[in-house]
Amino acid sequence: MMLEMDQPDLDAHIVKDVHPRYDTPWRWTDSEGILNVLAVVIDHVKLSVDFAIYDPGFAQTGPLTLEFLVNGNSLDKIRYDKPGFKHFEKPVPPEWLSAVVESAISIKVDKLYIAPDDGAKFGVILSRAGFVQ
Amino acid sequence: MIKALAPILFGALFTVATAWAMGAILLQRFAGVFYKTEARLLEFVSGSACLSAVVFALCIFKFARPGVFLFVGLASIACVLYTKASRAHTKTFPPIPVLWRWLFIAIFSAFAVYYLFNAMSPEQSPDAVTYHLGVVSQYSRTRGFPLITDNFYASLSEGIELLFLFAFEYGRHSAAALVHFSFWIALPLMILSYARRIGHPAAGVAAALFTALSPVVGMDGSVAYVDVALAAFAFALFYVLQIWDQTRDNRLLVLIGLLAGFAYEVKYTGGVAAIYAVAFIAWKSWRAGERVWKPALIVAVCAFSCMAPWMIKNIIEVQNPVSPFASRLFPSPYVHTAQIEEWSRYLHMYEMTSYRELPLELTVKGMKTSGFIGPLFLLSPLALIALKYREGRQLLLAAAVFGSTYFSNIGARFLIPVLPFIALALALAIEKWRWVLLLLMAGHTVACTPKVFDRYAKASWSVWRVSTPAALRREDPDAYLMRTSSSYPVARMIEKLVPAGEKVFAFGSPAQAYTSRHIVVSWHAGPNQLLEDTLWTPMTTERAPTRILKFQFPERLIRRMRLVQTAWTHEQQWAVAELRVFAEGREITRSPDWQLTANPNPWDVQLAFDNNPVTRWRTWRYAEPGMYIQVDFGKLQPVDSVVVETSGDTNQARLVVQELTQQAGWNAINAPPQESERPVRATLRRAATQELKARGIRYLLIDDSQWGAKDWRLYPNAWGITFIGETRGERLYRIE
Repeated sequence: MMLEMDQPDLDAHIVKDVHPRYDTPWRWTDSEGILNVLAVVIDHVKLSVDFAIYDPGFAQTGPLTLEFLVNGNSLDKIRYDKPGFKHFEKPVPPEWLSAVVESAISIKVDKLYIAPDDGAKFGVILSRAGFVQ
Repeated sequence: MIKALAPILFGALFTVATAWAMGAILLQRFAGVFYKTEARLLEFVSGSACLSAVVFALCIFKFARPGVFLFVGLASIACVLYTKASRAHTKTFPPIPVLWRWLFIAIFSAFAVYYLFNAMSPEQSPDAVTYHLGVVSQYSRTRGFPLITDNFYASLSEGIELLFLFAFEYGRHSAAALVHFSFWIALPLMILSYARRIGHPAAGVAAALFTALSPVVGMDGSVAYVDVALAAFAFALFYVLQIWDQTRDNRLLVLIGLLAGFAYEVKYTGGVAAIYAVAFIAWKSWRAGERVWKPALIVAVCAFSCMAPWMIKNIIEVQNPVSPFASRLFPSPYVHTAQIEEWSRYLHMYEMTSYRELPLELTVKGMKTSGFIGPLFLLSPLALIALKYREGRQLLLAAAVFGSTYFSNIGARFLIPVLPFIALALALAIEKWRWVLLLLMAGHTVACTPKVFDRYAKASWSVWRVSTPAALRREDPDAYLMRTSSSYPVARMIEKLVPAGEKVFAFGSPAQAYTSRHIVVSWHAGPNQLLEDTLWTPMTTERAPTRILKFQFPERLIRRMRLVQTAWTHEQQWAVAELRVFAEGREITRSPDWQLTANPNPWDVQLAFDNNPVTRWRTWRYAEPGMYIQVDFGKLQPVDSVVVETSGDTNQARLVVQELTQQAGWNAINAPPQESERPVRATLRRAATQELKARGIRYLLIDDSQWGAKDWRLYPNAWGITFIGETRGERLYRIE
């Protein structure tokens, strides 16, 4: 089950740290964006996330380290040295998942971009996240 | 306006006229017994019972058609006119004192007009549009009784609903409400009439107004409910019993039996009427040194002959004469014991935390008792003063009898049958202080005026306001109901979006009286609850079949084996999603020769052998030692292990495997279960909806406030459903 950041019912999936949508098909995260997603099946499932690292933000923060977690279990921790569009995909152990209740997908960002105008803080730009087979 | 109102008024008046005509024919043989005024009222009430019996017979043979009803009505009325039956009663009461007469006329007329307009308004009261008229509209479509096994409300006795059906054929929902309103008119008039008979007209005026003006009586009596009708039958029975006691005219025994039996037909709680009538006749006969058995038997036989058709209908349809109650005594797949016991527990308390809240809730607030009877009834203990009069003692005895069932459902309307007795006893107790009685009447009138009770009982079930344009059909009923009702738009959405002949599964009950589609409500029957369980299983880990219990033992030859539950559990059912039998590490293929049974709930035992992870056999009762699932292999079968797939919500159950041996009967196999967890690996959601589809249900109605509603909304693909419509927070999905 993939979540598109522009789908109308997305707010019902957001647990924390995902910004409201501003007429864009994507959303900003904060330091730990968490979304609830149903895995549908638990065997041979991969966590898939499409996101982007904002160019001007990267200039301020430098390389970012993102940690991807499923139901609190750390799936991977990756350092990104360049801004731009990114795709993350990695198999999830079935014992972390449930086909009965939603699983929590977390994306932790080690450094936040602070907007010079108003001091607002941003993590990464999220387009899609969820489970694929 | 006239065109729209004509069928409504015709339907109601024609029903009342037919009932009255049948009653006039019945009562003409009692010339000289009744006063003219009371005869008219008793004719209507007893005739209603006769008309209901006729409609029952027509429904059996699927002759419930407007043309047939027209013939029955016209024939009855013609018979009365021809035989002059209505002129059989000539005695008249002495006139009511002028002040009391005009007080009664003025106050009663004002409230009667108000509640008449409510009765004429498009019907939207909850129980009326869900089941009182829900089943009536079904009977109307099928011209009689269809077989209904998925709605236990259809198993309740429906004596008054059959009168509604008579009216419904011409004037639909509002005509039915007006029929019930006719009992609201008749009841206070009977109270007044009885009081006049015993020589207390002033007390009669006060008691009639105390009863009729009570907000819950006005509300109930002006919609298509049945409680005011039950009160009318209870009072009519009391009335005729008192006349019999005075006259010892044994011709009245048949009428007494009819009224007592019909009270049960109106509502199960009216069953006490038959016991009361038989006991009254027997006691009075014994006290007078007369024969006891014969008159008591006549009453009992007449009463039972009224009650029996409903019991027989239920035995044929749902295997339980008093369905949905007594399900332990008459187990059936159609009603689950746990469901009824939980429901009954709720009805004992509603939202209250203690019975200490009851007096104020019942009389003043009405929020937790679905209506209130009025502050005046806080003075009910004063009615005990009436014990010093014979009439007072009789009234209080009747109040005790008809109040004895009240705690089975503490809703204010369940007290309505008691109110006439309390009201008259109270009025008799105070009658000699006329000014006090007048003051109480004035206070009660003011307190029961909508603008006044709006200030102190805001959240109660009462008639707050009446829309005259809607009542007179100056406003289109459809537009009015779309504007004011929450359940009507849902029913219309179903009618529009669901093809004819399709079933809709719903967790709540929409206005079934306004849709011809078959609604399967989750809590209305055992099989429906099973579907609800199936739909909830994919969303709750405790229900999913993740607990595995393995019983391993040295191979042995078994012909019959049982899985037996041995523990007393605390409010927990036992359930088995799948029962598998192994030999040499391989599952033994299930064979059509296997004979499966279970105790309790043998009807669903197949669900533990269907390889479907979303269905399960459940006890549908709290687990008790001795409950079992049994497999008869039909031959000696080598077995070395048994695997039970079950769920977390049955973790209090303790299981053993037993085999049937020739020497020792059922013998426990020494094999303690090894418990393990197995995660659910695939979505159960689609399996659940496919199970519904396999049972003929292709549509789901889900309220946004319903537990789990979010899941259906967010994951339609996982469920295999398509959203097709929404109104008033209720979403309609089609199962693909």
